Amino acid sequence: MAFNFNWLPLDTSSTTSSAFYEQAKSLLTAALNKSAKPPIIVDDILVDDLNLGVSAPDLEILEIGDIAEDRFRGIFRMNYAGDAFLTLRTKVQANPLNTYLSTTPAFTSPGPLVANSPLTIPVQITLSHFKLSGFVILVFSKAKGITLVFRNDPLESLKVSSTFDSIPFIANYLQKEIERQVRRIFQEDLPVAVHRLSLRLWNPEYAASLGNETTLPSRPASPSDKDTSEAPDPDTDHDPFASPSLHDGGEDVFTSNNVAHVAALHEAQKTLSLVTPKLRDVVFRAWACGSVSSTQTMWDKPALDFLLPNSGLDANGELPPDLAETRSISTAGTMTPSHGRRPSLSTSISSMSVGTTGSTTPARTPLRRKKKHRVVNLRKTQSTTDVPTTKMSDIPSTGTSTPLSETSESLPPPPPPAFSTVVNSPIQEEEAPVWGPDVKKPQPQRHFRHDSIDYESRPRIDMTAAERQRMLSELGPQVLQQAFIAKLVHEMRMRLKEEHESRAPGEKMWGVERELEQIEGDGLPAYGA
Amino acid sequence: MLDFMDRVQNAFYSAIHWNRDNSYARLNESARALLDFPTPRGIHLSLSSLSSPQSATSFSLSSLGPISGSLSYLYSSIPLPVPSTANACLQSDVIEGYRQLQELVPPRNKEEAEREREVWLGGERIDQKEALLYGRMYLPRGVLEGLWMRRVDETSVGVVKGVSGAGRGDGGTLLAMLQQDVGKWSMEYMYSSDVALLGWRGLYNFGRDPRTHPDPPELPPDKPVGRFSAGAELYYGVLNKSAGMSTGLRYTTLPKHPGIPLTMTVTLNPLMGHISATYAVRAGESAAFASRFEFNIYSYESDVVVGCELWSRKSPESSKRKDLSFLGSARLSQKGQLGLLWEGRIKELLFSVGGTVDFRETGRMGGGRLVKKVGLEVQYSS
Repeated sequence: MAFNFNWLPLDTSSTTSSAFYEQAKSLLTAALNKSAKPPIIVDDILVDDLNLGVSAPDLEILEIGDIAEDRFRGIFRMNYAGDAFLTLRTKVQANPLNTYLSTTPAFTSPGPLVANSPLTIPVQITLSHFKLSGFVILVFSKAKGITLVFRNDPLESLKVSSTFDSIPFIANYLQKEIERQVRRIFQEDLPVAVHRLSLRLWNPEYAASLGNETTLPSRPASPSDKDTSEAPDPDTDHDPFASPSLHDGGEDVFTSNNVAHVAALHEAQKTLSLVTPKLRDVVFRAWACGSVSSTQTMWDKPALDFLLPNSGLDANGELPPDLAETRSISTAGTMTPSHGRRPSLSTSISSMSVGTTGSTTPARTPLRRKKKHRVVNLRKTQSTTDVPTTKMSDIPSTGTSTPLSETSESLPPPPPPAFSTVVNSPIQEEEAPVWGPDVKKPQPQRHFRHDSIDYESRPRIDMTAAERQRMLSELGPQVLQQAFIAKLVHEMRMRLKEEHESRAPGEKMWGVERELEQIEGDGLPAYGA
Repeated sequence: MLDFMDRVQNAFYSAIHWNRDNSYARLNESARALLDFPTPRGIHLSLSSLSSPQSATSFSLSSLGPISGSLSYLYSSIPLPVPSTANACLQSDVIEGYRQLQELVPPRNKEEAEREREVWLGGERIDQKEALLYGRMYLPRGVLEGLWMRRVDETSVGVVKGVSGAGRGDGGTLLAMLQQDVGKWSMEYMYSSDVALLGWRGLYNFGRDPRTHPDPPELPPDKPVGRFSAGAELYYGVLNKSAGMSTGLRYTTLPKHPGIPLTMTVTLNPLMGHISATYAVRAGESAAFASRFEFNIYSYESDVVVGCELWSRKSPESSKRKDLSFLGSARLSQKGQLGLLWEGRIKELLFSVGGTVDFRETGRMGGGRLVKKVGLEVQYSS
């Protein structure tokens, strides 16, 4: 992975850069004058000149903690030794007695006659020759914007030249003071500014809800504000994080056909029509009940990890080849793993499926996931346990009794054929929409055997290369198909998220989702603000 | 308009025979009173009482921002004759206008003053030097101001002022001053604890020395009778390495002057290159005018301010000073600032209404307003 800085638009010779610089200058001027200035500055601080130079900072990736289509976390080492500069112009009070007396209470003032007469001197300060090197932690989340934090003090040196250069005492004082302030800005004000700027660019509603505080911080800033705010956004022009809307045409994510299918499915939930559009080659959230494992990281949610193609991406950005792994879910611990590749997962799942009918706790642990009962069993039961609840494991528990016998035979040995077989079975038409606008309750009466699907957890990044290689070679060209399906599923998730956002914040359409939120808390990406 | 507590302090100064005008800090007091008069801001109410000839209390409320108020107490070791608001003479007690300086008087004889002061009880002297204690508490903010003034000897007075640091969190400020006045010259030494500021002020009056020639010389009636004075001040802040200084010269006419009373001053701040000259006259009993010209030789900034104060006589025949009613005072500066003030008395209340208008404030980035200050102040004291 590499970072490509498109620094050319900032070159002052091009026309686009002048508009950018004008806006940046006015933003910076407004920010500098927003808060109360120290009494020694008697006039507004104006930005005379701002130039980000011709060289971009060097970024070296040290560590990537998390990467997905809509989030990113990484640690970089940044070096900048370019020729950016910033020129400020203001007026300062030259009489120190005047400054002192204006800040002290008048009662104890010695009451000078004219010894405190003011003298304002215009001053121009130029900050240039920035040398920055430091470690920066960058966290990007589409919903929450960019957070950029310096681990150490990045400023190595800085040249301050002003109209007082001929007076060494004042020049030294200015150099020390401004260096101190710039260090403070990097540590304290810059993360806030970058965060707000990113929100303003990508998530205006959230930014507006923060109180319209969308300008840069109030202290005298440096061009590195712009430096580092531009640095982590290599794709400002081409934004792959833009939410793929239905009117998008699905340029790089989905074909319009599939998007239309999903839309139709979504709309079908809202009508009383008994007709539900069929979808080929889909997976449903309900199939992932109990598809949790002890090796899951915090980013994975129970029963959703198959809907999170991003979380399952390995370091190469490819989908795990075992998307179609099926895993049988049984009631009381009898587990029939589709293939014995991961016996540990199966046993852990079985142990989990036993104890999930209890109350759900809001505290999440990475190891144990409460199985969510997401479907209401409205059928005339043919199974032993017939509890019409909104618990998720009901269907698996009731359904597995009958088809369990057929599970082993109908279970196809290698994953891809099994997946396609299961997927191609028609979806029950009389499914009552009880949870989620675009996820279906599985119907164990038909051929649709969700329970016969074993979902192995994604190979995590910590998977060994050998294992990964083995999986890849075994699955071969089916990886592409899985990737496509995973993207479709991702699109459904986005729709669900949009649905959530468009709804009133407190209102939850389905009781299941309320419970889901209870369990998952606020870590759920789909529901994250 | 002078606050009640300021009036009490003025009464204390005159009771201990201390000439306030003989200080460099009041070199251009006439012009400042006519040109830099404070206008009220918001609504300010003050209720005061001279509960005994030696103690006074005052309570004030002001609507500046949220409601704020202050409570003040004063104690003096000598009785002070402070008239109530119903009886106060506007022109001399309440409203500071043109300040007519008097002839210099020699300092009081030490033995005479002691004899006057001494109080015996049970064979012992129990009197003390005249002292004044004053405290003021600003209620919402919790800031406490305190003043202690004491005569040190016949030519010196010590003053200690302090402000608590509750509002600013820095532990408070203390200012200690020693003022010395022998008539011919006067000096003040001060120390402020804020930035360890050391200050010195001195004033020298040209002419006769009242200690050797107590009576003013007799001059022909048409000769101008005036006094030249020169002074300087020096400040040095030890902690923040800040220094300031200035010098000044004043010519003022004395009461025996045949023409209209006038005062001219010129002051200079050599460090900052600031020169200012003022001219104040009292044209009869009904009006006083003043003007000031300032110039900075480094930054070429200049300003001209003119001000006037108008009185009217209720009945043309009466010549009592109390019959003068105040019409108003106004000032206008070349930078486009206009200040207006109207003070008067209604029944037993003293009121003052005024405001400041700035014609050139618009256009700055901070968003200036046309009317900068406007307010009403009502004072009652018994």
